[in-house]
Amino acid sequence: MNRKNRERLVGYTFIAPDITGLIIFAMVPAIVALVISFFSWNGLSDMLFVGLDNYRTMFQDPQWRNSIFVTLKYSVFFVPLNFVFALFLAMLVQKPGPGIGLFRAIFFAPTAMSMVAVSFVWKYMFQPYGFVNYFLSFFGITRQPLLGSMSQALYSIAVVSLYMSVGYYMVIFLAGLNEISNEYYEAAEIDGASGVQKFFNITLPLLKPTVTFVLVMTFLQSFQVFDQIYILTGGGPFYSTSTAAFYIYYNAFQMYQFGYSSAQAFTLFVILLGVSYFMLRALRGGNVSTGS
Amino acid sequence: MTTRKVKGILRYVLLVVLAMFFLFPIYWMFVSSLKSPSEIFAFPPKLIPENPVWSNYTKVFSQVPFARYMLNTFFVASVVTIVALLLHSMAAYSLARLKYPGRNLLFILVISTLMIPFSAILIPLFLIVRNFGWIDSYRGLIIPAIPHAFGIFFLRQFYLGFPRELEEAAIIDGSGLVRVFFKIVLPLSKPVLSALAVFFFLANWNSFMWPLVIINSPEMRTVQLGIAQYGGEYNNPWAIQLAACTVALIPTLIVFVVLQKQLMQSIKMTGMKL
Repeated sequence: MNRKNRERLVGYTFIAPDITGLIIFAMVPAIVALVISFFSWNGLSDMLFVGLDNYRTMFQDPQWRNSIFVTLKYSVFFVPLNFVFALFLAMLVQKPGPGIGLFRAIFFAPTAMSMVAVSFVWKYMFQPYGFVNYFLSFFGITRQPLLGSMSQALYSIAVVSLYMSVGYYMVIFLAGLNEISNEYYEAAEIDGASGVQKFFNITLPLLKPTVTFVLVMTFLQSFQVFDQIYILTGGGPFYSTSTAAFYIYYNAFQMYQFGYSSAQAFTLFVILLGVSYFMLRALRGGNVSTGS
Repeated sequence: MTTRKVKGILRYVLLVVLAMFFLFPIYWMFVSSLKSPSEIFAFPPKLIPENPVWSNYTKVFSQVPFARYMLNTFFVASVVTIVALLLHSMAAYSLARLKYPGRNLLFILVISTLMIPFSAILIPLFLIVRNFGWIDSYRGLIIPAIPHAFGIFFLRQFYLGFPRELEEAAIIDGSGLVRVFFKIVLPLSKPVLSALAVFFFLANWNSFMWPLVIINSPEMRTVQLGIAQYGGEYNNPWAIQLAACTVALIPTLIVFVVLQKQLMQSIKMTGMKL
């Protein structure tokens, strides 16, 4: 065998296991999700072809509409707050100083932690006689139902999500901030610009690629929220925290409506794919500090 | 005092307040795990339990096979990490260095799987794994968790910047490509591989949705399932479950404290998500 052929052989052999894995456990499932969505199936019986019936049912299902609405409400709350807090933390710890490394590590630590375990301690703190209500009492706020309330449960969950993810995006923002040359700020100071002016006229515009990346990543993340919901509320009370991913899981693995839940899963996939597409378009041309 | 000084002090005051907010849930998890049934919902809450009930911790291990859960999880997370690192570095090296027809197409295929959200393919993935007869098994937990486009992409970037001279010298010496990869390239990839290893281990240790779907029997549970479906205690459930959470958190906190700089560095490089 000559050298060229040997290189081909090694090339294919090296990539074969991973490519096979990705095809079986990612590509094929994506196609299978679409196929099953045209069938009525409980996972054991014969599959019954029903055409677009599952999609028709879906559009008329008040629970599905509710779960999309709940997911949107959660996203609209989580994405901007995560953005503001993460950027704020990044700017707070950007300049070096004594102990700053420790503060960075503390804010970043939840990234390594289990969502299940952290959700559980928050669930304990959110109880009527838990720590959160004790804390609120110092501000003259009477006892709140929190997870037990249709209007508060979703936002309580979002607080846990923020706790878990703000530090991670702080690190992403730190990388972006460090790429902005100091010369811009020095020039602005000579012109007598205020801190607020510097932030809106230098930091934010030059941070645009990172900003886009963070906004879209958190949007995708928020549309798939599951672990926190499962632990904290199980979708309740009265479906007020039943997000799209949770409702899909519920339909598939509690109700065994595999066809119907696949139609929902595929719809979610299309929504997220649309977002990913805009993400790539928005990121193109910009110098992406995160390297993606 | 100058405004600069005031600002500096204000910054640290803010940092300390925020740090307390971030640390408190972990502190609260730990101290509450030592509370007695009468203290667990005492109002106002007890910041330090009067008589720490250490037996809550022994109960975690005696009421449910929590040591088994930990061993299961440790085994699954370790095997996934090791196999994934090997396969991804081979795939990445192939994509970055070796020349063969269809290489770009394969790269596009890898990248395109990045777009597929896990929750959208959960059902078919479950059906495929069930078809293979892997429900309730280590294989079911391990094998589908290995393919990971981000890992391949990350390593490919690394190999694109890898100095060619080292490999070429060895090839001139008459070493084959496979030998060059395993004897020269792989050992020199240690720093980047160890950063990735932290990611993979943590992600698999903390993984919840996939085990939830494919594990039925109690002895196959992972740690996260063990916490979520804790079924042993009716007398003081909160404290004992919080003890279980603390136990589950300890390995990740150790890994974090030792390797947090590497973790931060690799996130900065890739924006990689656990």
